[in-house]
Amino acid sequence: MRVLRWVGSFLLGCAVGAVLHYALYRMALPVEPFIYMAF
Amino acid sequence: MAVARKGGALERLVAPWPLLLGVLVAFLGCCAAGRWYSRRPVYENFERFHPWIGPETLHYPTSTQVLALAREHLPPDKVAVIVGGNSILFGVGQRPEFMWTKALQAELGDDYRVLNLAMRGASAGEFGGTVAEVLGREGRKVIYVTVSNYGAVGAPNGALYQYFYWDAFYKGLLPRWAPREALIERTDGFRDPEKVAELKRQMWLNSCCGYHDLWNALAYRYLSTVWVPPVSQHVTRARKRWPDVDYGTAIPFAVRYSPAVQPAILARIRAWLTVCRALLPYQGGGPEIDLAKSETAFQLRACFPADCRPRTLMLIPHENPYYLAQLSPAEQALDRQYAREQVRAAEGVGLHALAVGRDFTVDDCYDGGGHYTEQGGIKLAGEVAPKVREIARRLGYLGEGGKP
Repeated sequence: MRVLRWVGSFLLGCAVGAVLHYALYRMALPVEPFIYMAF
Repeated sequence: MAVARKGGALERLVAPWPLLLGVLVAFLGCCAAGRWYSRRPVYENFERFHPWIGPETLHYPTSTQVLALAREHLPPDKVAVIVGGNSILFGVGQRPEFMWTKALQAELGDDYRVLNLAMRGASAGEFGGTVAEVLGREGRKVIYVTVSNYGAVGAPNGALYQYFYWDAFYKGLLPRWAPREALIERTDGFRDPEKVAELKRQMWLNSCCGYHDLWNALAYRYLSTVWVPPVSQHVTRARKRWPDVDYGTAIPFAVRYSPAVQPAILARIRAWLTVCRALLPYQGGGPEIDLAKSETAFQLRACFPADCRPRTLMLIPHENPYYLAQLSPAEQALDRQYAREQVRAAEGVGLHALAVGRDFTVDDCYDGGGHYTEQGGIKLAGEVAPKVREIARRLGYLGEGGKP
């Protein structure tokens, strides 16, 4: 039971770590893309 | 007496140290994956950065990814012709299979490799110029072809694609160079200081964590998670599956040359005729241009470091004949004179320059934005190719028998 709890916690941590990395990417994107007005 | 505190359900289910270890392992794993993806060519069957794989749809190719693309497309034993600049050289108005860089490749032959890194709305040294600078310093046989924007070269870090310069800078691809940094600082003085600082922090962080490199690559290859109106029909479709769409001259002439936009285009041309003399002042009464006082010359020097200038070809487009015909004979003569003077100014600071499109017809020109039709693109390639060959010869890129 303890091993299961540790493995589950580790996998949950992995998900959080990946989401954190993805959040950095999304935060760096502008809210709206620039609109090219010349044509 | 101490009483043992009973944990809640979350505390019973989750062990803190394994959780923290998982966070660290996954985050560092993502950083490592980002670095791995930044060094490998991600873009397949590449023709040009069309809107669905460009910043217009919030897809930001990183400097290292574009460098990897360039290294893959440009074998060291060929003369690498990197095309930069704006939508004119991107080939707006030309279907991808008939874009002008393909005609240029056909003109130049197998000893040359042409790569179109032009971006819509980019300034002369922006995006493609960074790639050409880095590859040139690696000892590659590079010729960079770009285009002037009415004598205004722009900031070395550009305008719409500033992220690309800072990404390359913080990844250590570009050396510090005082004239360039001075012009960037001057230009940044006109920008929102908070946005400038934020962009630099983002790109510095990306150089450490590689989040753009990783999630860009995944969005291009497998699954996109970024919603913008142009992809609203297939939000999660991998970006590589979006086609490069340009309808070319299937868009009617009356739309491309709409009378509604004509006053604005004529006003833009006349504004250029008014400011050109200030950008290219004469020494005394003329006709020699005072390069020491010229803003255009200053920007050219700052955008193109001394070692890059001999391998850079600046194209100076003549005005669209449709609109030129609506100017007075004196204005037409002035326009042609300024094209020649821009060539002299660029050559004066050590670049190569070529005025193009002088004898083009209205059928060669796509619209009032300076774009060319597919027919015009073929003519453009015909004008540019001999100059590229001449530069390759001067730079000693060609050995015995004219081979690289």
